[in-house]
Amino acid sequence: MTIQKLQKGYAEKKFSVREVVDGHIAKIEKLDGQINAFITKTFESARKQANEADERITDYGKDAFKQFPLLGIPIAHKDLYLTRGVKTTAASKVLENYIPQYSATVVERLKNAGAIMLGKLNCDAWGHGASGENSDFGPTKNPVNKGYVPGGSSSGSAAAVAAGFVILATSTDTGGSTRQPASFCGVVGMKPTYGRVSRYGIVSMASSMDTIGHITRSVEDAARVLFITAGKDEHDATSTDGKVQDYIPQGSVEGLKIGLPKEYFAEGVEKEVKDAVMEAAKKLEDARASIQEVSLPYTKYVIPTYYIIMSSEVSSNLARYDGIRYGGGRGAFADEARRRIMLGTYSLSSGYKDKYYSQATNVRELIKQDFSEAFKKVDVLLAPVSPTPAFKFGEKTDYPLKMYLSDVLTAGVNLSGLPALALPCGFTENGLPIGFQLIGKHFDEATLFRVGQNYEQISTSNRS
Amino acid sequence: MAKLDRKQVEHVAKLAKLSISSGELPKFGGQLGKIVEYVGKIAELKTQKSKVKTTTQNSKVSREDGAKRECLAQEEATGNTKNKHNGLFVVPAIFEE
Repeated sequence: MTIQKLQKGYAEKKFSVREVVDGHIAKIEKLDGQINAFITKTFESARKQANEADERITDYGKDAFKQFPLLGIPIAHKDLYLTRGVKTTAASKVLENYIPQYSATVVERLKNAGAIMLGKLNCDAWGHGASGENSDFGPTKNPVNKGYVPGGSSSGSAAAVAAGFVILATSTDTGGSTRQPASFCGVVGMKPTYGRVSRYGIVSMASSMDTIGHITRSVEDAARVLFITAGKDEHDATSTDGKVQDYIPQGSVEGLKIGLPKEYFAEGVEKEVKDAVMEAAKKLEDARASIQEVSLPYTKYVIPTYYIIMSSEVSSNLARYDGIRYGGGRGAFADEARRRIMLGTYSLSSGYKDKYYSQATNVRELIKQDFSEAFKKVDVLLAPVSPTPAFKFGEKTDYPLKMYLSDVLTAGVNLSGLPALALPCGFTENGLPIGFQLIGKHFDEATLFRVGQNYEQISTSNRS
Repeated sequence: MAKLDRKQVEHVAKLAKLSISSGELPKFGGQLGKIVEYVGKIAELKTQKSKVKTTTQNSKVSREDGAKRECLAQEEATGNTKNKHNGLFVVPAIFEE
């Protein structure tokens, strides 16, 4: 079910918003005990908003959807997004009783567009993780196979969309936290260009890399949502003035140049993943895009650079949780948060700052240049999202560094501020989803949606 | 194998205002040591000092003077603290009485 199909059904009176919201609530009540996608449920207010949406449709007919482009769409927010009056925990015991006094700009924009919030979604606490196992409220399970992680940190967001609990889940992506769980759960994950979407009211992780994304089941839905969330916000000084396009994808991929970074298909990427992603590239080539190999030589320095800069910024951003104005105090931080705060503090401390933090900012420029050089030759890059499909619970929790290496194919994009779109492209032999990502030039989300939708259409028509 | 010793972990924890128990020091020392050793590989690159950009884009980040800002009422602003006095946040003392 997509946004357009749902709203068509509402307009044609095939079903009401209240029926649809009740149906989603029933599904969550029946199944979320096994999945643990939600930390907080807001069903009472969702029902009320559903009734109001039905009244709007009765009063204004099809015009209601022009004024409220997401009218009647059930959504949920990652629990890093502040929601006024609704508990927001960042999936951490530090904020287990925090009730925000204001909402994030993106929360307001989606609400004003008519979307109906069903609740707040589980994640790795503070956005720190790549599996969902770092939540202080229990891990989320992958709906495709509950013995496996859904990915992270937007674990609940990807699981909620994959399980059909919501049509849209908001997410964040600082090192891959939208794309990787979308890929593990077989759904679509949109990471916009840094500055495209306001970060105001969303718990900060690494302020130079945090991007505000979303997870949906289709590329067109991802495009429709970005049109609502994108745009200058006076509350976020890093949000861009640039014009927000109509992102609805149009056009073929004929003549488009797609680059495959050779370092992203190297040793360490599992064969099943490589084969599925290469198959996706071939399908686009059959649709008359051209494919060529490119190189991003500084890829092997992405993880060290990312972890030094990210943890340094984390150590600063989490300094505010001192228990004075809000929260339970620093004693409630779990291991992963403490590890990252200490790594960042070490990297910035006297005697180590030049070797780690300053050097990392220099290497960051080299990584950015890699992408700039590649984009002189091609319009878009295509690559796997993760070296492996979803893994089993506990497989990496004893080895923090092993977990960090999961980010090798995603974090370079965050260091460079580029947009990327993760799409499903197949399954492993034991039924786990495999995803690939399209990486674009700054503010060229439109090309990502165009390629993505063309791929969706090709792969759907191949199946039928 | 790289490891941060107890003193190093205690020092970093103090700077970060985190309490790490003595039982936890070896665990974090080991984990952080391995991570620091791994990320330290960037030292092998000879780099020029970057003109560090504060954002990844060259966009203007300053705000206009006099921009309208909503303001929380005092009761709302102090609504999440466990420790307030006469509508004000209570903070740890800096000077002894």
